Amino acid sequence: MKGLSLTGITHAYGDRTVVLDASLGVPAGKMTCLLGPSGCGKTTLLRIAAGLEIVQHGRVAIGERVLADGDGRRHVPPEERGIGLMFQDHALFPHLTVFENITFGLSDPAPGRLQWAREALAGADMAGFADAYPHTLSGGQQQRVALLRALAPEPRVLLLDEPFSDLDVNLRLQVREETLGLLKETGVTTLMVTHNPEEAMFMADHIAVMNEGRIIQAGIPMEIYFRPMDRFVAALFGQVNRFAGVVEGGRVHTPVGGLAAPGLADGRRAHVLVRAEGLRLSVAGTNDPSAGARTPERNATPARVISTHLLGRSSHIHLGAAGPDGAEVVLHAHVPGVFLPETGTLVSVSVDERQVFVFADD
Amino acid sequence: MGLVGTRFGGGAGTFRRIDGWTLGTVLVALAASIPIFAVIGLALTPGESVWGHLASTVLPLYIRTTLLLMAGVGLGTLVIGAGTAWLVTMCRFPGRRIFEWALLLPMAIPAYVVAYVYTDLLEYAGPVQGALRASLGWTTKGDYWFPEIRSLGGAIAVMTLAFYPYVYLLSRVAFLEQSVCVFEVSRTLGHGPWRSAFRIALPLARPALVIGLSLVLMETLNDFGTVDYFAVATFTAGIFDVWLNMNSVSGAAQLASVLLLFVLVVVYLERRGRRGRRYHHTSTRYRALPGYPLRGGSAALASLACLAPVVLGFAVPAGVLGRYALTHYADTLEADFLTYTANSLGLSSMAAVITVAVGIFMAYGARLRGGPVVTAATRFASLGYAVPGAVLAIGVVLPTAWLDNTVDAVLDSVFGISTGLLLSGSVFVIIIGYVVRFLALSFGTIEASLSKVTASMDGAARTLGAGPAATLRRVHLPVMRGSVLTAAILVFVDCMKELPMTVILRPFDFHTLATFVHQYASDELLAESSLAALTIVASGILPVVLLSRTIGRSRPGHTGAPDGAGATP
Amino acid sequence: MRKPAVVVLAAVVGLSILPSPAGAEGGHVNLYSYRQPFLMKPLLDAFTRKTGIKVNMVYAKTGMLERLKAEGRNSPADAVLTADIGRLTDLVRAGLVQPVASAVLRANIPARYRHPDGLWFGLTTRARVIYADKTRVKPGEVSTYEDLADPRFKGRVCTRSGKHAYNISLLASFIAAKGEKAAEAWARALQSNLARRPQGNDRAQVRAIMEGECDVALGNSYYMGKMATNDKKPEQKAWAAAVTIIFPNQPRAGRPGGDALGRGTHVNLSGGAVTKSAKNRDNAIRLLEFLSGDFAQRIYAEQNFEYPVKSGVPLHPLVASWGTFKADTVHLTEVAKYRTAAAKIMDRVAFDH
Repeated sequence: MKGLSLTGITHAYGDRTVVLDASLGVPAGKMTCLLGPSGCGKTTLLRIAAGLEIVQHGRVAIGERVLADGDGRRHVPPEERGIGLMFQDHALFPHLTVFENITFGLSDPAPGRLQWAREALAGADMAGFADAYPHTLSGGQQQRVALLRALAPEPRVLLLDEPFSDLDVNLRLQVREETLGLLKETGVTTLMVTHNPEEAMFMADHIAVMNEGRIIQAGIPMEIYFRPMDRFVAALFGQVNRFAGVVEGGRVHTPVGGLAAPGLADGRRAHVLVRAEGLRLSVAGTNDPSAGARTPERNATPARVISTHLLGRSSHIHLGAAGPDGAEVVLHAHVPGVFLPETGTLVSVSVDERQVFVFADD
Repeated sequence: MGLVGTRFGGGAGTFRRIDGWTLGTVLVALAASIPIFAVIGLALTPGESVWGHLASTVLPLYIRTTLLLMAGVGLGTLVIGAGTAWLVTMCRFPGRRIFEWALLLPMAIPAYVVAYVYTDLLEYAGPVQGALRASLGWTTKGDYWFPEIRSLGGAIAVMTLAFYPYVYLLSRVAFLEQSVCVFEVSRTLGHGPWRSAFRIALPLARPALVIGLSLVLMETLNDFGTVDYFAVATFTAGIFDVWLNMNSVSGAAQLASVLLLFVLVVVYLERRGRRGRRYHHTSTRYRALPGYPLRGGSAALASLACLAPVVLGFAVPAGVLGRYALTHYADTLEADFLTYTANSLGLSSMAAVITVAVGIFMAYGARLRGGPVVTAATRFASLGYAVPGAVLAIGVVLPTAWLDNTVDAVLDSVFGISTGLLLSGSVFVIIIGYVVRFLALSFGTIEASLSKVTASMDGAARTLGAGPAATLRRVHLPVMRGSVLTAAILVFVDCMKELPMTVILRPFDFHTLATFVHQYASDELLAESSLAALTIVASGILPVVLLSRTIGRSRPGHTGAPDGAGATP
Repeated sequence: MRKPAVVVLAAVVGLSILPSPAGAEGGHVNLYSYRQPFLMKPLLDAFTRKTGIKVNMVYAKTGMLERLKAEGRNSPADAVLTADIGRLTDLVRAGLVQPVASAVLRANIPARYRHPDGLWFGLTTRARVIYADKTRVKPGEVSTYEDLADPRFKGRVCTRSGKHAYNISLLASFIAAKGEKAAEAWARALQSNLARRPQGNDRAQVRAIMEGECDVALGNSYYMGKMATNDKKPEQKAWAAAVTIIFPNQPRAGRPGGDALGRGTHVNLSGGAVTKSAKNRDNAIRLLEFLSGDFAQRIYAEQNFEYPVKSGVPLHPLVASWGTFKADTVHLTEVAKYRTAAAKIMDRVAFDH
């Protein structure tokens, strides 16, 4: 089992640079997610790895074997790379049956793999569909077939391009789990592209965050979540509250209190992000805190409830608090469980420092 | 494999190498364009200018008549072709299954044969007017009014009957391919079935309708037999007039070039109007088509609407020919009828195979590479369809004869061997002519179907281990198969009917069925050649029926039974 | 997918390069003909029987000239047969024929029906006559081409397309006799007398007379013979029976031969020439000589109802029954000169529309 490595990839279409000096390594047998918004260049990077684009600068290698080198010095065509690619639109061949689709990439004879294909179909509850044509399948079924097709030839590396994007939410969760299970079982090195942070957190052993053609940060999910390197990464995982201020005495004053600003000198301008789930609330003057809230602290800030939204297993609350110049600032708080005080209720807001990220604002 | 880049869908890389496919495609397209260049070159040769004379006399008339003819035939074929295609595809009424393929039958009959038959029937001295006069006691022309068949109106009617199958064919394919979901969305937004048809289905089918219409209009522009016989002064008639009666082949080529320019402008305008809009649907899911049942009066109307074109466009002409053949078959058999049949079949088959192969090559190259150069080259090569057959024949003769003479001269001076005419005196030159002329049919049909293969399908096949050649073989060709067959059939049938070019290009003592019929019919002795004409028709029927079945199967999941069989769970 | 295509391609190329059948016993001659094969067949068969030379014929109404020009010196055509004078002069002007010096041809064909330098040879003549309904047209009511333009024939005249070679030649002879202005006036007046838009061939005009659509028509003389003796299509006999044939512009009292009105009936001729590139030149000359000889000329006369150029050849009795007539004596190369002008006149008066 070899790992995939992309080194120093730069790619442009015409005079529009879409990837800039991106380096990425997928450890053997592991799953790495390339996370980023639409248009950040992640699909291009995937296509370069697959060989569907010619490398302009940089290198693509599996283990020691160099597949592509910049400036055309080397380019192994896609069909010879042993890299599987699963497309966002599944791209099943309309003129072949499900079974024929899955076994398309197999060279004759391959009785072992044929057997594997049959078993995998059965495992996905689709044994009766072997002779069906793709257009008769539902979205979820097409996705499964596409995945099996990519896995059948036992690729060294598997690339997934937003594989769950056209599935409805509940189906997505189920299919995600099954896919992850299958990939772990086969142990294939996988690089998956997604714009959904939760998906990346769930599936990946490593995450690489990409924005505007660059890889901003790479690491294990915990690190990405708790130690983002810039405000973009910090804001990836949901709603954030943003404040600006000046560092004084190692802290920045915000509408939710003074927050520590490590590493920034006094007088520096700072940009503070507090994740919505980092705000703990308790109704003022009562012992009725939102779940997980500590008892009111000295530096709990008062705020007034503007609106509440129950999301099922969590609640989203809009609060109004006093801003730096006295005007009201809207805060977003995201708390677990059911916490729906009436509009206008006064609550105390305290901050979980682990969800506070302070960056220099220059 | 010589295929360096695998960029699907463009994007400029740092590699600007000329690779095999681009070069090959452009070369082939250029080769197919040579006769067109020859015609244009001919148009530019100095000679007495005919423009002044034409402009002051008949040119305005030619233009006006041609425009009227095109408008009339275009409208007629659109209404009949798209209308019957809609009825047959989306509704249920008595006889629908038969009409599905029967509506294509008129394609097997050459337009000029239809013209001769109806003239025979409807002219003053013909049986219809004769019966009218006998039964109603009229004796001379002044006693009553009867529409004059040999007129612009008559030409429009005849050509509409002969050409509507092109629109029908393409409309049917388009309707079959449309996702029902789009149609049903329209229904939920408050449009009834008719309004949905007009506002959604028809516009969505626009590319197909446009292609069908453009085929019809090109056939109309090029027709000479009918307009000549009906004495309708079209532009093409003018071309022949200038050529033969004013002895100016360069003048004829000039007029032909103007015609070409006109076609180019119209095509360009249409594309501009279409820019920015997309016509393929995003769903890959198909349900079987609903098949709205029609009742009572509407059902009867629908059946009648489909019956009329078949009867008028096929049954009547075939019947009349049949009757003639029964009394005059001996004349046909006297001549080398079987040889002519073999010649026709052989030429048409070979031309169909080659045209389709070239069409695949060009469509594939255009798809793989895209880019303005390839697109322009392939579009230009498709213009052969717009050039009148006889003028194109000259365009073919000139370069092949030049080639032959050059080869001969070179070999003669170097080796002392005189090879004489190699290409120009042989059947090969006819095939070249057919290929150049009908390339538009095969290229257009195949290009349209290739667009159904998405770029990600290509990518999937490549990452699954299939190189470019294997992808072509295992993914593209199977998907293209339906349209390849369609293209082959269309070219075959058109070659069987082709006349003016064959007449000019054929070698000694070489006849096809079409030239044989021409020889007699042009002297108004159609009856003596009726058996041959019937053979042309018969040879077209089987392919036409095959065509219909292929189209019916082209829609995934559509088994032809509109009751949900084969639908998604 | 590749192999079958290659095989087919090879077959096509192979088949096509096979040389055309050559070298039959006694040689062969390749003929490009504007005259229809079923007219020529009996003559050519007879030629082959007599001389053993096989004739390969290509018939076309359009494009012959261009094909000959393009093929150049490698053209396989040895001889060309045309149905009217215009084509012959076009060939000369395009430099596609060669002079033939043949005593036989000179003897058989009168000077005014062959090119002075032997570039072409007329083989038959045909008069452009007026057909008139027996009952509706009084004898003597029409006797000249000019009469047809008279207002008394308004709505009573039929003719084929004004642009057809036969009518063009007629109009050209008009120009030769009376000048362009007069010719245009005549054409304009004739056009306004038409009973229907010009359509159909000469035979169709006669049919129209019989059906009552018109009373007079222009046509070539031989059609009368063909219709009157058509056993396969007896209805044509009825057409012929309904009309008389009139040779226009015959001189008579008050209309001397020197006057334009008495210049005689316009005749056109069919003829042949030997191509410049002829490989079988001698065979081609022999063919022309044969066609101008007694045997062939008699067949022309008897089977095609034409007027043979060779004097002394008996006419078909029916043709003879129409009597002798004075033919317009202007040399046909003169007439041919005006053909382009004639076509322009037809356009200016919008004759066909």
